[in-house]
Amino acid sequence: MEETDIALMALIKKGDVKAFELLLARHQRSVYNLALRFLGDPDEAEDIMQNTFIRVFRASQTYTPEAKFTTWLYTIVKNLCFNVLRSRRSAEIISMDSEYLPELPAKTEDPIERISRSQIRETVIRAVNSLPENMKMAVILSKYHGLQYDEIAAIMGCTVNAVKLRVHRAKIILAKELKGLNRET
Amino acid sequence: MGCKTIQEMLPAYQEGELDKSEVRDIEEHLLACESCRSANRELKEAWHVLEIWDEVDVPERLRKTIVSRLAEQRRIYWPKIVLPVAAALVIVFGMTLKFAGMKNEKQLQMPIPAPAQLSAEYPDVDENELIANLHILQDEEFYDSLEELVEIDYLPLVDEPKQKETDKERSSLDVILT
Repeated sequence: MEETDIALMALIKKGDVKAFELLLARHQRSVYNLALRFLGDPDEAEDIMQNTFIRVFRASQTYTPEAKFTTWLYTIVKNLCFNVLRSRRSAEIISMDSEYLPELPAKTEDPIERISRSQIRETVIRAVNSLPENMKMAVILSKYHGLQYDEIAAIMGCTVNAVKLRVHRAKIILAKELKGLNRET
Repeated sequence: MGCKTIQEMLPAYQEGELDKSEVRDIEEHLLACESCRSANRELKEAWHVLEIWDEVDVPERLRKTIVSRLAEQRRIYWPKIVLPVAAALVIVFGMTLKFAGMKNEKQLQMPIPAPAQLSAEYPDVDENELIANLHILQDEEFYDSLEELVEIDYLPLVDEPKQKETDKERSSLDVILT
């Protein structure tokens, strides 16, 4: 029978490296892709993944399963991702986040013209990246990790209503940004 | 409700989070408004088209790096814990020894009460009688007999007022016991 994540954490606490490797194999893909989608930088995503699992190992000594393991795991990833954003901000690479709807560039052409799949992918990535940070994290956790709003709220340290509001606003923004693209896929 | 309000409510409508009356209002509006019907469709399509951003594989070397970093962490981590704990134990042990030494020293430095002082504190006790009876403290039979006296509630307490003249004979023993 497959060990649960919590059972693996108990084994890791006792110094079981195999259990750690199993936990790593189970969650590495989702951790890496969450960081990569959010930050958009493979090198930073790699750092996030390494630091996340090192923290998991260290925290195994004091870990108490109060919520789902993945909620705890994604909270670590989210915190590390936001730390990276703070570092970038201090280097004045990106602009400040805003909870308000960002001003969208005026559309001068209808994107109905035929475009390739890779171009659509790029457009999608650009649209998601244009979202404010908290909205983007909520969208990624909801759309790509299939998390419920209450889990996202626990990860992001906010209310369920705040998460709903962010995702709903994001959907409206994305609908404007990606208008007409679906008919091309 | 106007188109702007309807379009803001569409995400909640699609997720089934509205109450019956709101759902009815929106559906009635959608039947009549082409613009909002279009917005409703675009909202669904946009959420669907996000799936084109598929996952990527984790570089194999990354997994190996993490496992080797973990081994390194374990080498560093244990001394990091053990050394401070050991140092703290040594300090606590040293402090305890020092404190215990100071306490003993203080006890040794405490003045031994002079016989006259003892006599003043316990006027009913005859000093000579005390000295004469000290040997019974080494006598096991004495303690056995004391236990028996305690059991039959015979031995009066020191603080109790003396009821009989014969109690005076035991007063010196009371003082020793207390």
